[in-house]
Amino acid sequence: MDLISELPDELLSRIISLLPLKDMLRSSLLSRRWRHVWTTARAFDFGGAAVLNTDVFISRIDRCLEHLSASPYCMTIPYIFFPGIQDSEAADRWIRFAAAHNVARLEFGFGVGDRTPLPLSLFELCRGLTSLDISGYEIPAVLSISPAFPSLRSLSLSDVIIADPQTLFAQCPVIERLTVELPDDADPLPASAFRSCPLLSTLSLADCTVSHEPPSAGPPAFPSLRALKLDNVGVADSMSLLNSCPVIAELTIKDPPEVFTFLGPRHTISTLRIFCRSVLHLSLPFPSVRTLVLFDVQVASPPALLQSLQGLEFLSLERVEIEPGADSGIQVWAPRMRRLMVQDSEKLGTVVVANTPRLCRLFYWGDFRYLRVFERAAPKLEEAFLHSTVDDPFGGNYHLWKNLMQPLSHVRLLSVNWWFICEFMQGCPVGSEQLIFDKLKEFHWWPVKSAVDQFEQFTRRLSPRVVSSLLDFLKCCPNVQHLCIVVCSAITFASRCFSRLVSLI
Amino acid sequence: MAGSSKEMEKVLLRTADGGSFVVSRCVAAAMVAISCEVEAGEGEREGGILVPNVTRPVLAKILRFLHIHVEMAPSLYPITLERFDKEFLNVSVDFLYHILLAAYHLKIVSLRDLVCQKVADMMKGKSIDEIRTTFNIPNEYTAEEMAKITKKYPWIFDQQLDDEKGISVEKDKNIENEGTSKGKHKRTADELGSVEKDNHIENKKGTNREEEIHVESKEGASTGKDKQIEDKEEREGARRRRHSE
Repeated sequence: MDLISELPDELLSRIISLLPLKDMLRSSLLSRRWRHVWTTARAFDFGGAAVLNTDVFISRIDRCLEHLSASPYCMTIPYIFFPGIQDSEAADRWIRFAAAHNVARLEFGFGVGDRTPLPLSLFELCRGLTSLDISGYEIPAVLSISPAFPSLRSLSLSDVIIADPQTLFAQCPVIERLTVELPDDADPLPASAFRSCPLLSTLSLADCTVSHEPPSAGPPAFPSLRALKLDNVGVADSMSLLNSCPVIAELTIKDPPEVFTFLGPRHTISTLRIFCRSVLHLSLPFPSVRTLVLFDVQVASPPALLQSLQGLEFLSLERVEIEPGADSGIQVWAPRMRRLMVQDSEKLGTVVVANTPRLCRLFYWGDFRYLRVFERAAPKLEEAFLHSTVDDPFGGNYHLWKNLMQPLSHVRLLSVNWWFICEFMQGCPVGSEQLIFDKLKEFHWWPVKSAVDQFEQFTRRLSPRVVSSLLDFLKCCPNVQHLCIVVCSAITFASRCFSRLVSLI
Repeated sequence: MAGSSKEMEKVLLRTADGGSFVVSRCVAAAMVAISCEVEAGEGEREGGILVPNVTRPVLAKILRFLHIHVEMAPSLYPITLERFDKEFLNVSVDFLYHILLAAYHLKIVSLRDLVCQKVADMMKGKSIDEIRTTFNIPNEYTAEEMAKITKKYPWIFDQQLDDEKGISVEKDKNIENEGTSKGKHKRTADELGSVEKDNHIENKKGTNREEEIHVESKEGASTGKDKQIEDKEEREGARRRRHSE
């Protein structure tokens, strides 16, 4: 019995909206009931008509639009995606169609062809837009008495040339999220261009420059900005930029062309992420920072860094080095730290977890000769992820292994790779000298050798010695309930990406 | 959420064909169509709440879904929930229809969207005949009518050719979602890493790693958790059966 066709129109419309364009159109051939269901879809992705010949591509889309316009069932389409074909007349037709159907979220895909001007009909007709994505066009200067997009909340501009940023941002006064990525030859963006967007809370800039603004006596330029992301953005005066964001909480800096001078103590930043090849000087106290992520950074003085960040709850260091000439090693005395992640940071020196009373998750990816944990340093530790990039860090010496693991033996979850079991098997004594993990409930073992050995054949059968040493280890864990042996088919992919994947903590 | 004692109170639900179920208040309230009655305390009365438009097996299935997603969700890994959803919808097309209709009438948005996605996935990439077979849709068109409709859009059948030659800018569509995903794929591997770092999603068990491990490994992770759910479900099911008898 054909029940699916008996579903109410609203449900069929929902289902059809989830299909790609071709499947959607084909559904009209299913039965009479389905003939017009596709015209009631609430989301269209016209990229599905893709074909190499641009004219054919455009004509296919035009055909669909004609059909939809003629259909009595097609009224409001909340979401439309148009491919970024650089043909202003076609874009104009499509914009008019979208406007006629009250589109709320409009997206133009990645541009194909040279940049052409964006049709002005977008600004004249699409007043109900809440989200707009434009790629690859030239945005003309728009002069209008009232804003063109009074409801626009989210705007994303990629690879566009903006003739006049001031008038453009004045068209969207209630915008909350803005993402701008400019081509290399673009003009600098003046910070004052954003003054017309007082509700802006998330700003993401990439590959552009923000020009210097003379400090003005008026209200700050970004009164609601909470999250700022700068990717390869040259900022002429970073201090004054940050001063103009009074409630900023999250700051992400990637690859700044110049050194980004940081923060005075009055800033409210709680999450700071820095990805760049530059030297980090942070000597003023920043009690507000709760999350610090450093990637590929040179630190001038790690002790001073931790000293200045007493409120830190989450610290992630990946590929962090010491500035040449500075003392190596970092002792982690952090009263509020809850999660610590260290990856590939052997050049930092030895990381000593000295006193972290609230630490509940420790992640270390690297060479274990550079990790030490003091006895009772982390009494609340629950989860430990210890993955070695070196095959045999302790040379088979059980006591060195035990020295490392003893302060960690009260964890509930342990995730390790090959080195853990192999070390154990080579020198484990029996009896009272054995290290017991009495609270361990979950053990994850990734039998993956070091990342360096990319071309080594991965054998799916573990040798009996390894298996018996795994069982020996499990005997030391009287309360273990779950054992996961994680089998990966691509070793290098896993080891390179594991650190990133697990960083979703 | 499911911690406070009021949420854990039991309510009685009945169906028109004689089924009766005792569930937690929070589970019953998740069915928006009857949530007013739940709030008003009707579920504790003698006769319980009569749940309209649904039969006993369908309501049993729905209650199982809600039990996992409402009561047990805080202590489960996201990947476990995904696996449960997949397994849960592994039913006949007819039953799927009943679940969808019930979710629609009872206004359970998450289940409705889940089943809609499942039906859409069953239709994606298939030919007309295959879809007709899967869903038992009779072919009412004559050959001429089919030809007429096909003539309008001849290219919808050239899927293979186009995918090989053409530019593919297919992307996900978010109907109710605010965020839009991009058709551009300019990201390098490093960017991908940093983007994932950006997503510091606070999760009770901090378990997004499990999600990603699943992508890599496909086995091992969370099988223990699944067993736990099965055990708990069995006990819950047994309890319900005892109550309904």
